[in-house]
Amino acid sequence: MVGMGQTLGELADSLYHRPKDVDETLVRAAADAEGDPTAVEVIAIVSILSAIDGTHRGLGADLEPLPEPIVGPPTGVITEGLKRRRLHVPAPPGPIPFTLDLLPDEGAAFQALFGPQYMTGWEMALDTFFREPGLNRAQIEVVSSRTSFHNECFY
Amino acid sequence: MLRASAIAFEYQIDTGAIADPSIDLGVPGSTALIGFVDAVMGVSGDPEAARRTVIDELGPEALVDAASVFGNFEMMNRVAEATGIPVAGAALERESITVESLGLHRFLKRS
Repeated sequence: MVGMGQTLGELADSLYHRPKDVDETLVRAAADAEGDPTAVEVIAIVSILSAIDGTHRGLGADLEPLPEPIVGPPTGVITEGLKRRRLHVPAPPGPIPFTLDLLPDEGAAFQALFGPQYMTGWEMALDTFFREPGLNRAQIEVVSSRTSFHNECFY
Repeated sequence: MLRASAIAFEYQIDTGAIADPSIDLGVPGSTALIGFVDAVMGVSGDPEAARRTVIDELGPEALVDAASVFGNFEMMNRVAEATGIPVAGAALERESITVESLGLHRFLKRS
């Protein structure tokens, strides 16, 4: 992990391999050492990578190789004026889709996966949503609930 | 969300099955879907056999759906844990029976 501090590396490693071990102490240590935007970027990249890898594992497909790093400075696109409130990182008020919006590009990438991989906001409002052919809402929530149970994620 | 959607589809469910797969959840195909998640996460079972069971019972499109939802919640769980998004007190109260039956209080230690 060239150029990545130890606490940030620990956050990335734990979040990918052992998400149940990630807590406020670990996230705050990384954020204190490297800054909130850097910590949020790592959270976003690792979490989105988990979505892509998880889908591949589910389908029995080989994992995609990581892209080559792009040389150059960060974009510097950061939302100003956000506070931590009761969270581990600064975020605007609102539900979970907005929790990565300290970095708008990462927040948008996170939100873009909801529709294709789960449901759009409009579809989530329908308890009777179903895909034909495919799973209905109750069957979708069986998969989400069991996954969250194993990850020990209450939310 | 599982309970609300099950009610909407008029399934008689026992949410205890999410913690204990020996219980019949009451959602069509749920045993195959729980077995799929368990196998892909390395908890129990052979992933290839679990995928085949989902295809046989629910169809190949259902496997694509199941893999996509699984991937999405691998992401959502990580974002929730890392950002520390809180669970609303009202939600905890509303779902207190489910929280108790599944033993979920232990998952709240970091929230």
